[in-house]
Amino acid sequence: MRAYLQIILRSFLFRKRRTFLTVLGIVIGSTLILTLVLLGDGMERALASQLQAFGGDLVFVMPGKADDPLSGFLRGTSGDLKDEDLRRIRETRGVELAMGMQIKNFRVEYAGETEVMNFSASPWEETRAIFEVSQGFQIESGAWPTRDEQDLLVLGKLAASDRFSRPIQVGEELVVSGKRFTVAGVLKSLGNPDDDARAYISIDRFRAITGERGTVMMAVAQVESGLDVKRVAEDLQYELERRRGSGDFTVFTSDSALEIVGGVLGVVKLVLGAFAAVALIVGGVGIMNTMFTSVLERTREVGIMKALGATDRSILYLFLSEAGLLGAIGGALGILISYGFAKVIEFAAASRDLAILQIDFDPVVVLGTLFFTFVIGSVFGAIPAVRASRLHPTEALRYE
Amino acid sequence: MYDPVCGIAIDGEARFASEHAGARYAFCSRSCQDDFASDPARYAEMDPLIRLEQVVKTYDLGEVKVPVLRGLSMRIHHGDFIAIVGASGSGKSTAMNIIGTLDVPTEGKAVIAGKDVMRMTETDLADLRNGKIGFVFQQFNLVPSLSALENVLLPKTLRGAADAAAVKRAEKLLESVGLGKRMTHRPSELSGGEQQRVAIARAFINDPDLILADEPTGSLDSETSGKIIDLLSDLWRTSSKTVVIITHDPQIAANTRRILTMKDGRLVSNGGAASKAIWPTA
Repeated sequence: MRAYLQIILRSFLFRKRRTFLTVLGIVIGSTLILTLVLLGDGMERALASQLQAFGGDLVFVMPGKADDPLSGFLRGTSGDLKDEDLRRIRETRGVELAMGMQIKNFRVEYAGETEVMNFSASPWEETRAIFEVSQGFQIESGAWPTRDEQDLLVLGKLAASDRFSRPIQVGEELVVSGKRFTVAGVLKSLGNPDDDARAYISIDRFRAITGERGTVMMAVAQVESGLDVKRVAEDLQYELERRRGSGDFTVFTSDSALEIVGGVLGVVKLVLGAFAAVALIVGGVGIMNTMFTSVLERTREVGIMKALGATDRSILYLFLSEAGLLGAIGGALGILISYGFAKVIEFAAASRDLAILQIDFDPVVVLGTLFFTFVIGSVFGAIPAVRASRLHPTEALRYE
Repeated sequence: MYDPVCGIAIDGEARFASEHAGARYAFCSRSCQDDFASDPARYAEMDPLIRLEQVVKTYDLGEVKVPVLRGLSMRIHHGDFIAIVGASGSGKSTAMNIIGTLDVPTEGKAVIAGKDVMRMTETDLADLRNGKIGFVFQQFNLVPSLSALENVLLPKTLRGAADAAAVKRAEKLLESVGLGKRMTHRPSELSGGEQQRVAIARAFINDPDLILADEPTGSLDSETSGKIIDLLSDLWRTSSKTVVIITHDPQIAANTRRILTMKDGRLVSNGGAASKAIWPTA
């Protein structure tokens, strides 16, 4: 292979345009596939890290059927989890404490500016217990409010420092959806822009703003230490199903959420990947076409090489390597372009505080792509290569 | 009467001459006579570089079989400088393909550099061509995408043997054919004569026993032709290689030491060269 490299590269340079166009076919296919893989992996990783941050000893209950939890999770299905359900959760064996949560965007006015901010609402006492213990929330300045009826709120690190042109200090006032609130505390950064950009209020104040009563979007239960989280989750499922008389809700732990999300993403990746694979096959057919033309055009060259002592086998390897290299060059360019794409998308997401993407440079993906595109090239170049290797030297030399 | 050494039938005057000369190999070319008349036994024992015996080559064109060689016999010894001449259709190109092991006989025997080509595999034949034979073609047959130097190196490259020493040798060879300053040029940037000189340098890269030139001046003007033939003659004189030129041009043939004339797929004359000027000893 190395011996032929020079011959092959010269041939590529000699036929620049054709080489470029052939490679382009593979570039498109491999870029499509790789971008999908990278974005899919990045999304999975980002979701995983977020779900992990939920805390390993927490059980979440959301309304909506289990077969579509992702869309419910991402859209933020308005809750029909009742206070009654919440009480049942609290009474379930193994549950240390539980709270209802609401998540919603509100308009926030501060220092003459208006911004939309994401709010998480839950009772202060449980919030503090669950978030501090299971999710590592820590107050940087100020303090957690203690009474739910007070018009107080707590800001994430970024919510305080980045959203308005002037950083918000503890003790200052904000207007949330027309109601005055005082900043009681600012959290330390959690390392996750989504959480850091959020604001926290009590569920009582949330209801005062929205007028909603008696329902929550999500319930969070903390499992007594030392107990099997999965077992408690199963018990919860059973208890709730008995009370509600149906299974139109989803119970999950951070582990099971990860499985579900991974499964959904896997299917999405598979389907999109199949489309991209078709593009790659089309690229392969392009290589085949080019190699047929090339063999025909270089019939005489094959004759020369045979006269100079090339064996059938070496001619076969020469053309196989050439076809494989066309594929691998396309793959290499595809790697560069798709990493570029993915990074741009990651950056765009990050600049919108959507930290749902983390694109990592994966040597396995890179080597795998190079290998795979080389194989595609060789496979599609096989028939032309065999044809070249079987040319009879005298006939090949006579070819005009 | 059949001359087993020179491989042709002897009739008429030639036979008469042969018998009356009292020498067994009287009909051999003058060079043969000069070299071996004094010691016929040595000649008979010596292993020739090329030995064709009653070679028949028939091309199968589906319904018809076209016989091109009809019992061609010849011997060419190490160090000889030979022209194979004949009209088109005489089978001289097919003879060159057989000698160059690019093709194998349908019948008969062909022994090249001590190897019976009928018993060799495709790989063995390729090895033989690579190591023992250097080709020079009418159409130069350089690879258009490679530079002059890379073309000269090609027989090495194909074997993964294009090391520094090989590169050095290729450069030397190009210098010796007067192309020291055009090594990086592609064939399309070289004139016909220059391309043929690259091809000649390439033929010498693996230090072969036999240089086989098929109408080497067929695509060149007469002045350039003369230079190419001079170059081949010089190289023959200085290299001790066996040089075989296939040509239809009597003037070119006249420069060689022995002329083999073919007609209808057989050798009809094994006569001596017209010019003695280049004989080292004469």
